[in-house]
Amino acid sequence: MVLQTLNINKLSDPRPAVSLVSGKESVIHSIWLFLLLATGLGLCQFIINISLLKTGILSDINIYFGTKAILAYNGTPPKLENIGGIYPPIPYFLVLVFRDPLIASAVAGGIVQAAIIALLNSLRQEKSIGTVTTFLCILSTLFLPQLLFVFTQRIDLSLTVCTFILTMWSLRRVELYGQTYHLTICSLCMALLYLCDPTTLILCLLFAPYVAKRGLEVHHSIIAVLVLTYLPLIFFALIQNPMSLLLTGEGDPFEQWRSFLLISQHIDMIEARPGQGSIVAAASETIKRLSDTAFLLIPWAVAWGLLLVRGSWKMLHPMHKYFLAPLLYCGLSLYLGTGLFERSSAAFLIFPLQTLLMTTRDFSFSGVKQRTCSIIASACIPLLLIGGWFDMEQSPDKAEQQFVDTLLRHEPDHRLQGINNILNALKDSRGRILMDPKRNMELIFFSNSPQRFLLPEQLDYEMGLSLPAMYVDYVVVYTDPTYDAFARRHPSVMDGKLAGFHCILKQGKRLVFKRTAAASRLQNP
Amino acid sequence: MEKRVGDILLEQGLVTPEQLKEALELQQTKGGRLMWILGSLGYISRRQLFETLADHYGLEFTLMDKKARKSVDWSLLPELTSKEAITFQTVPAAVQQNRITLLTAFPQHTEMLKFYAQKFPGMILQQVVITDLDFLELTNSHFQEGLLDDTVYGLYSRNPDESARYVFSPSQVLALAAVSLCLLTLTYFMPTVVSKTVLFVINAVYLATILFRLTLSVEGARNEIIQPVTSEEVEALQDEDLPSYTVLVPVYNEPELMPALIKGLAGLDYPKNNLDVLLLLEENDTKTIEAAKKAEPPVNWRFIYIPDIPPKTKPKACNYGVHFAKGTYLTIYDAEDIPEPDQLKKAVVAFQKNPPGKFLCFQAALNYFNADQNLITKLFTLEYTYWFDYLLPGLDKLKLPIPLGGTSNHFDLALLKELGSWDPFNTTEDADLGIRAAARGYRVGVINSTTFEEANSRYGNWIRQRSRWIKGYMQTALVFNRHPVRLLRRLGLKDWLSFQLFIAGTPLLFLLNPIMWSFFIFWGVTQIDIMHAHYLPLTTFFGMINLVLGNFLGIYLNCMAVFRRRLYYLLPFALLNPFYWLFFHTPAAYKALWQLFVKPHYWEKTTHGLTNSQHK
Repeated sequence: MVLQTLNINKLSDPRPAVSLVSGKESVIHSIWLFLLLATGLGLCQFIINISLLKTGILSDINIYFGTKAILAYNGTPPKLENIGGIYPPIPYFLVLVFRDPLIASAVAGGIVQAAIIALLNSLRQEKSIGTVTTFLCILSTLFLPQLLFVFTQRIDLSLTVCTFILTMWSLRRVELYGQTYHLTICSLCMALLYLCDPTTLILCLLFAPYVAKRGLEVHHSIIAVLVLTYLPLIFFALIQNPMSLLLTGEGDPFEQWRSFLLISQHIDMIEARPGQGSIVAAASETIKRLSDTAFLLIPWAVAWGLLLVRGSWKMLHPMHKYFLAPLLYCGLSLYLGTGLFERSSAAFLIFPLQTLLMTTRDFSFSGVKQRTCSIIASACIPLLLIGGWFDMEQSPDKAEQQFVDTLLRHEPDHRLQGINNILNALKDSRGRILMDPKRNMELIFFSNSPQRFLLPEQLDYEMGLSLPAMYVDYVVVYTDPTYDAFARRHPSVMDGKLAGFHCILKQGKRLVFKRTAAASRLQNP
Repeated sequence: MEKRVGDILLEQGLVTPEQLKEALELQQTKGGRLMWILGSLGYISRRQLFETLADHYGLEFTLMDKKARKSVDWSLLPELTSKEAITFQTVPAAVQQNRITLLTAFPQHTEMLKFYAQKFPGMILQQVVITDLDFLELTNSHFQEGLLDDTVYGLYSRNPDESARYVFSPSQVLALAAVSLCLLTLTYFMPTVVSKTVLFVINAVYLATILFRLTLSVEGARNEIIQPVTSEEVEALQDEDLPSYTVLVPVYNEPELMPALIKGLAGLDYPKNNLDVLLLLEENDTKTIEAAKKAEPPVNWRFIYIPDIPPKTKPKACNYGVHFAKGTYLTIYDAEDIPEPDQLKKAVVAFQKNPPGKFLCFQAALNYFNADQNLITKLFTLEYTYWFDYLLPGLDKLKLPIPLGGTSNHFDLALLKELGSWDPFNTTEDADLGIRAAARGYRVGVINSTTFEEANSRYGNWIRQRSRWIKGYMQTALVFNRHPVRLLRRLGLKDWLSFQLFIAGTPLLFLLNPIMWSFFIFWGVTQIDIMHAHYLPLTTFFGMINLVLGNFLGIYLNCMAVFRRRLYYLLPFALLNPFYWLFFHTPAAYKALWQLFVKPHYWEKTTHGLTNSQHK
């Protein structure tokens, strides 16, 4: 009989009854406040974006995402790849939804900035930091140039940094509590982080032993806990190839990541990626990069130093891994050559933000009074505020340098002036334009009329490359055959010569050719 | 002076001194009436109980045969309602000079005597004791018409808009016709605009549902460590203070389950004298009736014979049974259910902890005792575990309307009657009731107790059962969307959206699933470039998210489901979730859709007891 063999207790919840958790959270109220703050900050950032744009500041990432979004909506035909195959997918999704990278950056930046302020407020409420310290920290979020740059110009970086901090926080809560809820949140955070930067796959996996240990204690199963925590991460890592095959016909998703990296970094940096492929070189490059961004690292270094000084020399102390995490992330990124930390001072924001996270109650560690740690670390803020400008001015990333120059000295970016000149040259007619988009993407973005361009995804692109006079009215060439298919096909353009066209503009490394009247008559007798 | 019942029983040799002692000890520790304790222990029969009772009070006892039932003069008190008769367990039978004969199963009840003294002033009330079953048969036969009318048409007559008696309201038919006409016309003139819009809406609904379920699951996981009712609270209850509790057990064509059923419910830790078990038997189901009688249930069990009139559904049977319910609280169990022993007490605590009149019902979790029987039971168990351990607690945490489960819903009987009980025309009457409660401002909560049932282990049986549930969801969605704006005002936006996504959205997604998969497979295989013609870029993006994330989340949330009960061996089967959706839910949904039009009130009976027969 079923009843006789049934052991109800075994099938029921096997855990001992936990005392009732009581307490009411005014979650709705907090959410509304947060949304209000995020909206206000987002609006400010949007205004900053527009002002910067007027002086010619617009990051390559914004242009890349913006162009892809324009092509997704108005391309002829709209390529599937531009709809779902652009990496990193999370930042791109925002740009696709809003159709404008400036708005998307402002939205993402507003949310991230509001989250930081909310964190500061909660630290103040739990008395981890004082009111003055809170005020100084909030000032930093408003005036630290790296944060400003990231919020307005680097949507990918702002989301990566945000998800990195969230992941660290969720990992700590798994370590502390290990309940199913915490495992789920952690798994979602890690998946989001991966979708912002694939390097983090390895970093997240390094935390697996700690997750497994806690899982065994709470749930009595290592495998189940690891499956629940890492399944989303592994799934998104594995799904890339099939999705890439489906959307682009190519089974190499890293083509898209490479395309992203090409845009996110300057050419000279891509070609010379110090640290890539060698552990020793990566370690040495990490140290070099850390020294280049010393001011940003001060709070982190002081906090970790405190931990060591107060007696927690044991390497197995749980807090060490959280201090090490940003270092490992940097090192892994340099080793894999993904470009996030190469010559960018903004990426090192994870260090001070991680330190801020570690002043929360969840990260309190014995031997060091939480408040002491936070006071000393926060006292570094004035240094951070001043030094941050210095770091960024000396940044090897030209975009960051230009950003600071514009903010401090109102120096416009002449790069976009050049693009405007080209667009003016192309404005007179509705004629079609042939070009290789690899180095000319901003032309599509700023023209906002992708249908004028003959691009590689279109059927007659190849024919246009061979016989441009028959297909297009204008040709724009980037005079480097490495990056421009047209320059490779017609080497004579390097000398400003193209049959059936005459050169109407030389702007930096770009040449603009217009079809001659004779060639036009040939095409339209 | 009244003789003590114990003495009467001993004198007549009906019980031994040891048996009497046992009953007295139980009475001391748990309270209750001695006669009922002896009866529930099986030491005396029903007849002996009432005979002794009569003896104790110095009253006459009689058995009611057909002739005796016919001799009752109902014209003595024509205005007597079924409710009054059932409440007092007494009816006037005959008059002789200044003496009124009252047939009673509850002799010397103060309120009853007061009531009849008022009705027959100046007359002597002569009580004649009959058994409670005889009383049931008596009232059943006299009041049946009125009871049946209320059972079947009560909800409809009070508020036709809340009844699934008719599937589509006239306004819905008109709206459907108008929308169809518009769509057809627009499709003729602007086909791509229509396809783009429709596909966008479908994908947006999919995405909203996916995100909603994820949110609910995470909230439910947050609740995992919280026990709404602790064991300390249960232990603090005093048995003598516990209110009466009615348990409805509808059975049909399940004679082989009777012994297990009696044993399963005998395990309930609740004072037997306060436990009122009503076995709801279809009057023409002679096999089950005979099996039930043969099983000799305790005296606190009563048989209610449900008249054989359409619709032949479980809610109709339960509605009929509610008329005879004596408890403050009421619950339903199916024939194969095995509830945790302290479930009723947990429900009592839950009601007592909350303001009276706020909660209509507390839902216990349902799970399966035969999870490892085969693949179907494993997938079914995963689904149910996720539903009851994470999804419903998530709804509860967010204070959203909860669709009730089929059994183990613990009701405040007064509120249940106020709401009109169940809709006999709805095949998922429980979900319907949950929404109706929300629309009237009542809440449904969850309690941390489990009832174990038998999971369907055969595909055909599974499809029959699931098609009935999905059809019921469709009926519920149609009923409550007869006046969508009114519903929105009553529920509020949050609850209204939850209702639409959950109740209306669930069957819709089952129906759309194979269509969307077909689009995707067709495009994947042929690579015909139809996307940009019929899909907006955002729709494509949502569609990809739905395809990838939607299917993945189905798997992932099932992985999460195993944690609360540590059913880790089911983890690999979570991977089969997309397969479960496509090959189980989808055929059931289409069958449900077909039945919605051709036989909307047909109750697909699920065959139980398959586990026993296969594991003999």
